[in-house]
Amino acid sequence: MDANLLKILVDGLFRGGSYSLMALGLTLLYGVARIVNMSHGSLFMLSVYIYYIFSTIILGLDPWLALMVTILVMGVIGAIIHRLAVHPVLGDDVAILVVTITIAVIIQALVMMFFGSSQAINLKNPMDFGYFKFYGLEVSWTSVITFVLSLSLFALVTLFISKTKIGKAMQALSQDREAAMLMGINTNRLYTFTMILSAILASLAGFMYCVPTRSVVPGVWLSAITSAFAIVILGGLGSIKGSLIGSFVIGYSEIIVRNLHTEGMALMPLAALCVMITVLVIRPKGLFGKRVEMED
Amino acid sequence: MPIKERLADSARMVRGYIVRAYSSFTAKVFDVPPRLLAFLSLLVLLAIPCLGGKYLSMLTYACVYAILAVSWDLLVGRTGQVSLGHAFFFGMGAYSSALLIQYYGSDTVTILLLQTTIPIFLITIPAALAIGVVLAILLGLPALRVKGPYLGLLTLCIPLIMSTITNWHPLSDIFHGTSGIKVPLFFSFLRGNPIRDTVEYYFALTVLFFSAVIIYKVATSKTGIVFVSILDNELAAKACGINVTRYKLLSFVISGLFGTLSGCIYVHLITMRARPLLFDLTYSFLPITMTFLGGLGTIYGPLVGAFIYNFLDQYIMPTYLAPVLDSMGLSTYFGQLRIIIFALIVITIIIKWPRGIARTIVDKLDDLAKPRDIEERGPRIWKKYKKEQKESRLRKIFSRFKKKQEEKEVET
Repeated sequence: MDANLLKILVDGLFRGGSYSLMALGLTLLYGVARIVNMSHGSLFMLSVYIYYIFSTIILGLDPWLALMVTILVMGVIGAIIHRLAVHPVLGDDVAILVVTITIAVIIQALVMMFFGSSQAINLKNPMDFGYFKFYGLEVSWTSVITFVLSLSLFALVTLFISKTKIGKAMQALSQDREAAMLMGINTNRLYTFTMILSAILASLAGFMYCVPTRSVVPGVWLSAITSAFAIVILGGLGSIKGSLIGSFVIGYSEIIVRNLHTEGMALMPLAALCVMITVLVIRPKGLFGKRVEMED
Repeated sequence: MPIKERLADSARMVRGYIVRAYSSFTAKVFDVPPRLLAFLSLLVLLAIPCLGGKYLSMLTYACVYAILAVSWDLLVGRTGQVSLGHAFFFGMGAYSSALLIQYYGSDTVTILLLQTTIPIFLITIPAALAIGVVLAILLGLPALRVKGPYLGLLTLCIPLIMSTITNWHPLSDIFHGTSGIKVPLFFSFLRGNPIRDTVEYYFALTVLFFSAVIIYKVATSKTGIVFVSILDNELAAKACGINVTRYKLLSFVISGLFGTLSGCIYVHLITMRARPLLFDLTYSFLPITMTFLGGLGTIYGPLVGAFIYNFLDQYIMPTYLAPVLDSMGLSTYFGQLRIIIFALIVITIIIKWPRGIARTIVDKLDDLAKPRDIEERGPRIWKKYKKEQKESRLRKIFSRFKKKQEEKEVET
């Protein structure tokens, strides 16, 4: 097999895997609460910095323990954001967009305040087991482990949604809000819960995405959010199956664009954006979307 | 009648007189026609350079940003098409003029017919506006298929694409990377002249005035009413036989035209360089901040918002916040803290006063200016009086009812 092609295949696979959790968080939040969360990417970025704080700066915790603490902190932050900023404007699409993008701007400014605008920080990697050869291609164990972890977490969350009581309530809420309320589901509490879950998923995605490359810059949130939205729109807003497939499509398309040109690294964000625009123009509801927003 | 009740009665009467006098007074004082208000504020803006030109550059910025904010408001506040990427028009205005100048290669053009030499931007800016209209149509066509959050995402992406392309290394012969393309300034012939700031300010103000008047005329014309009908209920508008597609595209074009204009003015008047930074999220976020400060869906709102924003951003923050931070040794945090403060202000306004500052004030003035029916919309004192009256009446009825019941019980 051609070495270049193999590299594209493997890289795209890993990239898609690292996007899947993030897209899942976004699509859950939209499916359940009709919130288009522009601050998802910045939660993703913030979580990496919190992980950095706990694992390196302040406490020097064990990386896995630091990840657990990060998840807790991110859950609290998600709840705070939801209760303070998003909950008062629920139901107004423009206001939700503006409020969440404002939160993203705040988080970016906060991170830049303490860590500088473009210095890459050095993250601890708990999965550093070196490389192995795969048909002549060097593959790092870190990528493999993060890939497996991401997909298993994805499966876990999917199981959670389809099997547990809360998950079923979330499904009900995404199908029909009024009916769910009549069945005695506390919608506000469930919205908060979904926001927390989505923030946790964002933080896990941040861990899976940034730890293998060992570095993060504050600007990563914008490319992350555009990729995630491209995935979610491709798969259909609110569709879990779609987000899994979409994340691999976007992952592969980004890797392909990277290999098109020697300077292709800088054009990588374009791949997701172009896919997103094409999907929006040709089929706005995406591959597996149920509702078409155009027809009220 | 006991003397106590009589006293209370007369007190109520006096209160009523006061209330009536107050309301007629407010009706007379606050009944200022909006045009007079606009004219007065224009006079104030015209007179500012006479008072001292210390902060003229701040006002010039405000004027240019106000054009952008008004164009955003026409699109979002009138037709309800959420655009999170107005930086696209802003940057494209700057870049199309700059690229044309770069392509021509000289700062002046000689027109053979008139035998005169004119600066090149007199030709490139109209060309850039034409390009802006074409781009608005191109962006508007896909945007017609989607709406709400989808449209927001779509428009958010487009300046990002432009930013990536202009930053791309292999194209640096054309776009010159992050340093950008140099363009001639409008008033470069006044270099070193003390009146340059004033001239620049008056120029920006003139452009703002004409743009605002044109947008106001559009918004209050029949077309503007159709725009609002699309915002209110698209289906109903369709049912009335309105070609919704056409009007949506029209609002996109008008908004894009003025966004492009503000970009042109910005680069030719202030920054001198068309940089990829112009496609940054900051410039998409700017009109949103200003419009929500002023009030969504009005024309005066974004204007007022732009001036409030620039006043806060370039006067209050450096003079009051910066020394405090300096004294604490945190002066490096100033730039980011400024962004955070504005973001917090925007969130607070959206949650607490969704109509914006200027619109809340104007609505309050309108409310005060109405010749009011005291019994319905009077101040708190009158309402309290009416409530008391009603309660006492209810109490009387209730006591009568109770007496009757007791009598019945006695009978049985």
